[in-house]
Amino acid sequence: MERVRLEGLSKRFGAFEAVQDVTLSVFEGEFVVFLGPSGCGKTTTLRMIAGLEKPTKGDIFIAGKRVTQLPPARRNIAFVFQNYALYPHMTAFENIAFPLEAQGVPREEVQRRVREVAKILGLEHLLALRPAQLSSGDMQKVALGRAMVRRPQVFLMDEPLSGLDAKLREEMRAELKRLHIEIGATTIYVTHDQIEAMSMADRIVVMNEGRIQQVGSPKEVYLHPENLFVAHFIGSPGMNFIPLLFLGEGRGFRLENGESIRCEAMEKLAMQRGVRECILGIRPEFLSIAASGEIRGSVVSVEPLGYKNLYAVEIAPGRIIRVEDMRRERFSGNVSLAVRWEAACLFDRQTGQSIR
Amino acid sequence: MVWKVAKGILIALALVFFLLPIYWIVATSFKQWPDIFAIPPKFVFRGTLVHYLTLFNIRPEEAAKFGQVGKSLFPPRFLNSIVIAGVSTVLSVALGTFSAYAFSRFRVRGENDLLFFILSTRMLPPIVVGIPFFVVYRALGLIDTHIGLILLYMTFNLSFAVWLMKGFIDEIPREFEEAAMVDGYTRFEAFFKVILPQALSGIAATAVFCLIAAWNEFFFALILTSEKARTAPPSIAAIQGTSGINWGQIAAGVTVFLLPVVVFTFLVRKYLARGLTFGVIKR
Repeated sequence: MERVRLEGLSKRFGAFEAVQDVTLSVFEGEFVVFLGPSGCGKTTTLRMIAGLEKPTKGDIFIAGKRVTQLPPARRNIAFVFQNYALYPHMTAFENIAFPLEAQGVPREEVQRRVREVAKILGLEHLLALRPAQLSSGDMQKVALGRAMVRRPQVFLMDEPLSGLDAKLREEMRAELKRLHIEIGATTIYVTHDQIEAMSMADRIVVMNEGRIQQVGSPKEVYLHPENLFVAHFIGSPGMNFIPLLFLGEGRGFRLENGESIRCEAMEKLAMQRGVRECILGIRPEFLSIAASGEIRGSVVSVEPLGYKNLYAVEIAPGRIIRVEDMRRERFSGNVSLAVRWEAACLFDRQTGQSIR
Repeated sequence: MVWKVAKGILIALALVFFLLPIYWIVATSFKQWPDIFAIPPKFVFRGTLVHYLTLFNIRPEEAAKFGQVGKSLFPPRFLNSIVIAGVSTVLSVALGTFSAYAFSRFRVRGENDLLFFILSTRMLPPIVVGIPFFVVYRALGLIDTHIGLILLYMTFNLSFAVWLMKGFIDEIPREFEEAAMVDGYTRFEAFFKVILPQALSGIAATAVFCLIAAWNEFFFALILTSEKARTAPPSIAAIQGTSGINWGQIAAGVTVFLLPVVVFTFLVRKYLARGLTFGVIKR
C-alpha cells in the first residue's frame, strides 16, 4: 500500500531551484534512501515531506491524505535530525516522552511506552541523564526513541549517522536495519554516503541538481545505472567511462587509441538506437588484467588494498581507468584488459542516458 | 610571582577606584550630621540610622532638625521607580525576545534595513528628543503618568533587547523547534517549551541591562514627570532642606536606590556569567 506520494514537487529558494518536479511513491514498510551529493535537493525534499519547508509547486500525500498545506504537527511523522536536536534541558526520558505529551497521552501510558522503546534501543539505564551526559551513539538512540515512541505514519531521517565516528556508524547502521525489520516502519532516509544507502535501502532514489536521476533497488542502481551521473556517483571508485565510436554492426567500436573492439550485443543496441558516439561504462571489478584482453594500456599506479589491488591504467593519452584485480601478483608496464561484457553498460554520449 | 603580586595590586587599585564612591555614599548615609563634613574625613564614627528613618518618614519629627519641611517624598517615588523600571523591563525583554525570534527564524523582507533602523533609535542623544517628547506627551496627556515613562523606557530599551536577543537566539539551533513542531507542537508551543528555556541566560543578561538603564534614567523622568509618576533619581537629587542640601538623606536615598539592582544582578548571576560571553553558548 502506498504510504507517501510526492507529485511534481518543486522548491525554489530565490533564483535557486532546489528541487524540481519530484514524483515518487513510497510503500508501506519500505526503507527508501535519498542519495546524492550535497546540494542535490534530498534534504529539502525530506523537509517538505515533514512540512518544515513549503513546496513552491506540487503535492504531498501521506496515507492517502493530501498534507501539502498541513503544519508538521498534523502530519503524524517523525523526523530524526542530523544533529539529533535533543532538548538540552530535558532528560532522555523527557525527550522521548515529549511527542506523547503533545498528544495528551495519560501519564501511565507515557511511562509504559517510553520504557518499551528504551528497552528496544537498550537505553533503560540512561533515561535519567541529560543529552550532554550521553555519548553521541546514545544521543542518536534517544533521538530514534523520540521518533519511534509515537508510532508515526512514516520516519524521516536526515543523515542521522553522519555525526558518528566510523566504527559507531557501522554499528548503528546494523542497528537501524534491525529496528526497521523489527517494527517495519516506513522510512525515508537521506544520506550522501552510498554505503549507507546500499546496505540499508529497499529502494534508492538517486538525486542530482534537484532532480531524481534514478529510482531502483541498490542492485539496479549499481548494475544498471540510467545515466552517467548515477554510474559515476555510485560505487567507489565510480564506473569507468570509455568513449567509443560505433562503426556499424559487424564492424565494432573504435577506441580512442584507434584500435577497435567487438561485442555483438552492444553493437546491436547501438544499431537499434542509431547512436554513433557512445560511452562504455564498466566497473573496475568487471575489468581484469589478462594475457589477451580487448583493451590495451599501461599501469600508472597500484593501490594495494589487502585483498585486492586497485590499478590505474592509461588506455589512451590522458584517459585513465580503474581496474580491480584479486590476484596477489602486481602487474606493471603494458597490460591488456579483459572486459566482462555482461556487466558493461552503454551510454549515449550526447544525452548521457543509458542505452538498453 | 612578581607578576602575581603586581596583578593583585592592580586589581586592588581598580577596586578602590570603583568602590570608593560607593563606600563614601554608604558611609555618609550612616554618619551623624557633623561627621559628614569633617575634614579630614572620618573613617571611624558613631553610626546613626536617622537619615533612613527620616527618609521613610518613620521618625518625621527628626526631619525638622535638618530643615526638612513636611514629609519625605522618597517612599512613593521609590515605589514608582520599581513599578516603572520593572514593567518597562518586562515589556522590552518580552517584545525584544519575540521580535528577535522572528528576525532570527523567518525571512523578513528588508531584514537588515529594519534591524539597522531599530538600532538607529539609539544613535541620537536623548536630550535631542527631550522637547519633542515633552510636546507629544503633553498633547497625549501622558505627562506625569506611569504609563508614559513605561512606554518611553520600553522604546529606548527595545532596540537593545532586540539586538541582544537576536544574537542569543541565532545561537540556538533551529532543529530544536523544528523537532518540537514535528513532535506535535505548534510553533508557539515550541517557542515556549524549547526555545525559551534555552534563551534564559540571554534573557537574564538583557533584563539586567534594560533594568539598569530604566532604573537610572534621570533626564526624561525629570522633564516628563512632576508628582504622581516621578521616579527616585530626580527626587533624590531634589532632597533639600531650608538650610541647604541634606547630604545625609541623599546618601541614604542613593544607598536604598542601589539595592534592587544589586539584588537582581545577584539573583541572575548564574545566567549572567554565561550570558555576558555573547555568542559562545556551547552547542
